[in-house]
Amino acid sequence: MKTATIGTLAAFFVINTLAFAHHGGSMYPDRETVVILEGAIIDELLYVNPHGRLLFSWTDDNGANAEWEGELSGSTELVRSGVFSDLVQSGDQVTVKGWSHNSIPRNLRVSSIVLPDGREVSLP
Amino acid sequence: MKQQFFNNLKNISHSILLITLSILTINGYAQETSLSGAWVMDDRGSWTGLLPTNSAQEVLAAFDPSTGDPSMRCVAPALIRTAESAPPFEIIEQNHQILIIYESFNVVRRVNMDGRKAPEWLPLSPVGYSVGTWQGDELVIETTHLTPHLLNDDGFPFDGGSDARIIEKYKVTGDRLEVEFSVEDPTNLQGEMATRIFTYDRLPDAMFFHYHCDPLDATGWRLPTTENPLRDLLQWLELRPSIPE
Repeated sequence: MKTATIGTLAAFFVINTLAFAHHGGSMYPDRETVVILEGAIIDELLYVNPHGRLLFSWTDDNGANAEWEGELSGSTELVRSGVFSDLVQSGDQVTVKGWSHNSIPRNLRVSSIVLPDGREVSLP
Repeated sequence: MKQQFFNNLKNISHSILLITLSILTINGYAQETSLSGAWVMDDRGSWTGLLPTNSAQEVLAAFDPSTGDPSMRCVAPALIRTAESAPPFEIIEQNHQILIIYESFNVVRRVNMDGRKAPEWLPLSPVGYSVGTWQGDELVIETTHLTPHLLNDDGFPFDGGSDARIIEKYKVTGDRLEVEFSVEDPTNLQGEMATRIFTYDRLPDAMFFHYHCDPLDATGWRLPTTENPLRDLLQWLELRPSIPE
């Protein structure tokens, strides 16, 4: 199932202002519309400061495959929240949820990841 | 004789108890009002009076967040954006200075409390030169000698230099710290001042980490993808630091 779901899920996602670090949110202003990318294939998790990066590819319903990039909190915030660098491996099939960048296409602020074993991990 | 001995012992015990209670009370009050300790962001508030001049509007319009934010090259994002970071910070009060140590970008600020003024030759920097004074139970810090930087991640410019300064007011109430930032920058602000209030929670037993930030990691990511890949590539090449041979 490789569908992108865009919906208003504000009731399920508490907007965590602490997660914005020095990116106060203006690059990802619409926090109520959550983009859900099922069947994303992990390329790499870059566990670095000032922001982590999740590189992955995703194929839409028309079969078009494209590379995506997800912004995460910095590694110090991730480790403080119990999210470690072994969260995902290259080749893992996951669901990525997040908020769209206001100008860069295929770029999300990642709010959570559904891992291959079905666990959903919220990210700071 | 025996009764008098016990009466004396009782009086001494009461005195010790009173002294102990007094010390605990004083310590408790000092703890409640002390800036010293670790703090973590609770509420970032929002700007009031952040009205750009015409020249600032031009800068804002031209700002490209994918390439124009120096912090993405591991350059510390100056006072206010460091203070709004998610990682905690620590305040250490000394007689001659107050140290503010942010985990974010390993920024260390020294607030001079002994009246020393900045020498004329002092270079500008992201943390500038800070002088603090106590006004009642409020710490007021004036910072000058700041380099140009961004007030927001949308690219709102701060000019730094001799015309611009930042005033901070710190007040502790129990385990809450309120910090009011006021910015003076006639080059970029229409009004006299823009203000924003951050609120922090005390963080007992805080663990701090070293903030490792490598520009090669920070800029060596996948190319920013916009509708103009050639421009993206050129911008990326320009930003990427030179690699020693």
